[in-house]
Amino acid sequence: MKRMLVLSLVLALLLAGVSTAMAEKVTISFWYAIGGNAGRVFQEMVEEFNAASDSVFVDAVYTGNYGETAQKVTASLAANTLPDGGLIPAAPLFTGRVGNYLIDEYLRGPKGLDMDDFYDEFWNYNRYDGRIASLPFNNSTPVLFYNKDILTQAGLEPKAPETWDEMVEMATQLKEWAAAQRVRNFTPINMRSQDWMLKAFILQNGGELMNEDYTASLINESAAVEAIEFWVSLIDQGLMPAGVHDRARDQFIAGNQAFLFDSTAGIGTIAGTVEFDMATAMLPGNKQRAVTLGGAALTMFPSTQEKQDATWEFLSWLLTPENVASWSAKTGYVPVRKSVLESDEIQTLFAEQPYYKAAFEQLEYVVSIEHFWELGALDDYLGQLINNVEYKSLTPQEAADKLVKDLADDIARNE
Amino acid sequence: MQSIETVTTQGRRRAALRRTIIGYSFLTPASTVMILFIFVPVFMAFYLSMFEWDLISPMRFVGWQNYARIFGSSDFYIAVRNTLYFVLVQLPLDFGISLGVAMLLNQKIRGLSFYRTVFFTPVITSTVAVSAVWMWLYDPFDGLFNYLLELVNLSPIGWLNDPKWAMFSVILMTVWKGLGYNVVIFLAGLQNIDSSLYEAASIDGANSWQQFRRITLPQLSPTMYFVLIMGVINSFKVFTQIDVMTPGGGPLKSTMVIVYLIYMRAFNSFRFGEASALSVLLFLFVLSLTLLQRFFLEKRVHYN
Repeated sequence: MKRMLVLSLVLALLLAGVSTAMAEKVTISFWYAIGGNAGRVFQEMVEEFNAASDSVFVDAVYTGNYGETAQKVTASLAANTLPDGGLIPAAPLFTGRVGNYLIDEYLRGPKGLDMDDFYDEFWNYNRYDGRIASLPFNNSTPVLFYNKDILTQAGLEPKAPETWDEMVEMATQLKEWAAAQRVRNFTPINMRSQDWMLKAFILQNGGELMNEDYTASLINESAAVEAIEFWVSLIDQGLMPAGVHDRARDQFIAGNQAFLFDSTAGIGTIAGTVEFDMATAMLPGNKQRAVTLGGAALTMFPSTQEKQDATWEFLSWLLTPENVASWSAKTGYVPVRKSVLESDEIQTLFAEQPYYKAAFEQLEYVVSIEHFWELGALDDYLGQLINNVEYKSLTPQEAADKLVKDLADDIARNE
Repeated sequence: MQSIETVTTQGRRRAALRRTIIGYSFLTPASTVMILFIFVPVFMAFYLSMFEWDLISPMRFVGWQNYARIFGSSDFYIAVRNTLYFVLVQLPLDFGISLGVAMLLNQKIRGLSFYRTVFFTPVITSTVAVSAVWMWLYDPFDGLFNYLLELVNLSPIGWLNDPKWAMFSVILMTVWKGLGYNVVIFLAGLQNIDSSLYEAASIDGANSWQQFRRITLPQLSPTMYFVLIMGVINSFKVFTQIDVMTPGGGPLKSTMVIVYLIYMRAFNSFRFGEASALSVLLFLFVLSLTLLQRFFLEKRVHYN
């Protein structure tokens, strides 16, 4: 009996000790919007952090895809039920827009990050109204995938085009080859996420998407309109199908398409599925090389000083060179720190999966724009513009003028 | 001193009151849910339609501006045209085919329950799943429909990717999916018709068209009225298959119906005021159509 009592006392003391140790940890709530393999990798990183840290516990919750998470964050902003931090899409809109620049303050504080090791354009992507409002983490860029087998069969050298002209030349030869060989359902070129790709084409032609203070779109100026005209010419020459961009990846995987413009985030899926000899390359350029940037971002929401410090500890841990390297190697997201490109992990990845090399090495050509409130509208209008020019309901100039006007109306309305 | 009469009246009143209280208390759970999740949001929509609100910035009163903006934008007219196209093509197709199928299934044939199951299966299948399957059928590259067209030497169709065909493609799938529901209702209506009517008619020498025209149609009119009203309301509410099969409103906005426009304004552009104003307009539209139908059709409905 006595022994039992002692035992239970010891147990109670032990439990109390454990619970006080737990209580000392600051728990922060964290939302993330990436599922699938990347989601699992992220969850593992959270567990690793929680095991290693004796002061912070991260309670990470998957909140659905980008669209669902954006809706959730919007609703919680209105209802004041935000988490402490998150890996969320369009993060600068949910922070900078309401005057939350906590990230900028921590970044420049005593525990800040070595900002020079990150690509400038990645910082730009995380700005709202000129100030940094979130941190780059899971970013992707468009990349050119090509089917080497088809190129060889058609009597072409199995390498990627470097310029628009080269691409048109190769695609025309492929089209003629397919017609002569009666290849069923063959498409030379197609692009997934077409609005994102058109942005890259506009930048490659020296055009600009927005003016410097983000108050007007410049898509109806000649360099941009020329890029749209080039896009339409691909369709007119039968080198790219109109309106079926959502099928681009499947058609490429099925071996019916020579060139695919798709996100670097798709490399894992595509490389793991195709049954032919495939390669990736930098996007072809015209007046210059340029690639656009996509992805969600890490951010922080206002809370107690203690929780904010804890959140920063977690965010800056995610962005150590080692973690950026392993995150990138395990998921295929582009490494956001320059130094990481030389790391062993990334070099091993290149050796095992050479597809990532082109994707990561084109990062110096990334051109990005800041987040501004009407960015979502700009993307929608770009989608409509592509629709209008591909189905010939408007000319490129008319469609571009319409976009500029619609966006101007939106901007005026939100002021 | 109270008379016996007043005491009993009081007792009766008290009993009636108790019954009323008990009655309402039974209604409370259901009506609370209804009021909270249906009526309050409905009135909120009226209220919100007077504001500019993106959930994040503070609400700003703008009066009738949202309505003015809607009537001044081409999107609204495109959406109204698309919705009317959907209703006017989908409804007659659905109505005619389901009545025909119901009459066929009303025969004494073998394997009847099998056929009924076959026709009802699409109804209980999730719209999202069905839409995904039909997207494969409609695939412009290697879909079954284009393969069949090719077999009979017809040129392939862009289906969901062609501005001229997109809405019709959505309608075709909707008719296929919704058919079984109306078939079951029509079947019930048909089986309610007294068989002695048909016997008497055939003794009098009425042929099958006359029997259909003079007995089936009038006897079925309450069912047809119900199917029509529900059909109109449901057609105006079409959303899921449009969102899954033609995200973004389809090629050249050819499948952007009113409900889809509401969704885009609210959850894509975060213009909750304008979206609410659109919902109010849709509500008034459906309400007035239902009233018109009542006014013109109900008199023709033959109740036994």
